[in-house]
Amino acid sequence: MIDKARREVAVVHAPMAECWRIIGVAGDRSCPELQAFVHCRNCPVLAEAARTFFDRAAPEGYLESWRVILEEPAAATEASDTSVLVFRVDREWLALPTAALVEVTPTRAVHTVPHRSSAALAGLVNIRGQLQLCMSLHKVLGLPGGPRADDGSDGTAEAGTPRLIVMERETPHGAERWVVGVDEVAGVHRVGTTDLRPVPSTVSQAAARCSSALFAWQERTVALLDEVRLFETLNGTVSA
Amino acid sequence: MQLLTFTVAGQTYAIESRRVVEVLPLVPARPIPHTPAYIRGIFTYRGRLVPLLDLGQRLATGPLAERLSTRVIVVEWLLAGRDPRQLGLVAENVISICSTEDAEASLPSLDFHDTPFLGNILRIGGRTIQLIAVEQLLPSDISTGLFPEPAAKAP
Repeated sequence: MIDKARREVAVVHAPMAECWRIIGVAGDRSCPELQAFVHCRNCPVLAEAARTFFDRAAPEGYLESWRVILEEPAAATEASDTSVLVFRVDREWLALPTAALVEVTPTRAVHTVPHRSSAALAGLVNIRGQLQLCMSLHKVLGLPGGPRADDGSDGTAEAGTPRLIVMERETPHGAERWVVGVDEVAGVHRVGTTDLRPVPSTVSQAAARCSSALFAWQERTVALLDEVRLFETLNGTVSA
Repeated sequence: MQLLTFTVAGQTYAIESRRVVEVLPLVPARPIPHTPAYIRGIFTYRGRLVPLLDLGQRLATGPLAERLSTRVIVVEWLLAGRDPRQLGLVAENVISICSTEDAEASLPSLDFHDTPFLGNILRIGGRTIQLIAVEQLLPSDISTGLFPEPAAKAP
């Protein structure tokens, strides 16, 4: 709408110098053009004034300061950080590289599969019209509890809102997709590779087997899951 | 084709935006003696020496003033059989882009022998814009001088 207005009133002439201070939003708002532009920042008069403002001569030292900045060789592109999805399973905070992430969705009905006794397989869920295997990350990683159903609460700070995480990897046989239920998702964060610490070798839980590193995040220690090992573990539990 | 527009001596011109590497604030350039007046000099751009061409001298009559709004458009300078190099163009009001698809009217290029860089004149969104062919801005002898063959480089 503003674009249309701008074209129609492209020939708005400044009624007075610094009109935005007098009849515009910083003044008494009596300018008739405010009907069309709502705010002075949308008005071509202010845009033109801004342009003329920068048409003055560069102050002393200004060009020189830019020369110094631009002489610096281009900083090597920071490839040393990775973005991860941070989520909680029971009391453990885990992270999954976003490269393996497809989407995070609200929980929905999980249909159990008859004669499938593997506790790790929660059942089948409908994700955008496709039935996907839903795994219980609690069981796979050997943690107590199980995926909670969304009880309709908006997620208290203590409990969080349970979610389903859809993840995928490319295999020679095509894309392999898994859905896991988690207790809370804290969003996507960036982690520098220098902040990653090795997993202590004394830990021998399944969770540690699937983790590639630990990092500190908001005063918590988060285990970064290795997506390759996690997919292998999920495959192993289902085919067993 | 998307265009980056700028003004030189009050007139609007445009270059193809896919040739643009970066738009920088104006920086002081070190003059090179005995080069044409439109070669403003050479400046250091992220660790490389890049020639700076003053479009005010090339398209109008005098060098562009050192204003806060004066910009350097860094473009790719394509060289046959070699990696592209960079060339800085000094221009003013580098503030908008437009598309040739929106042209309401156009006038084909006027083919003058000594200004091969002047391209079509287009009417876009109430402005009359002349296209500049970046690859024609430097005559071949100047280009060879500014971007010598690696083998011919002084040790």
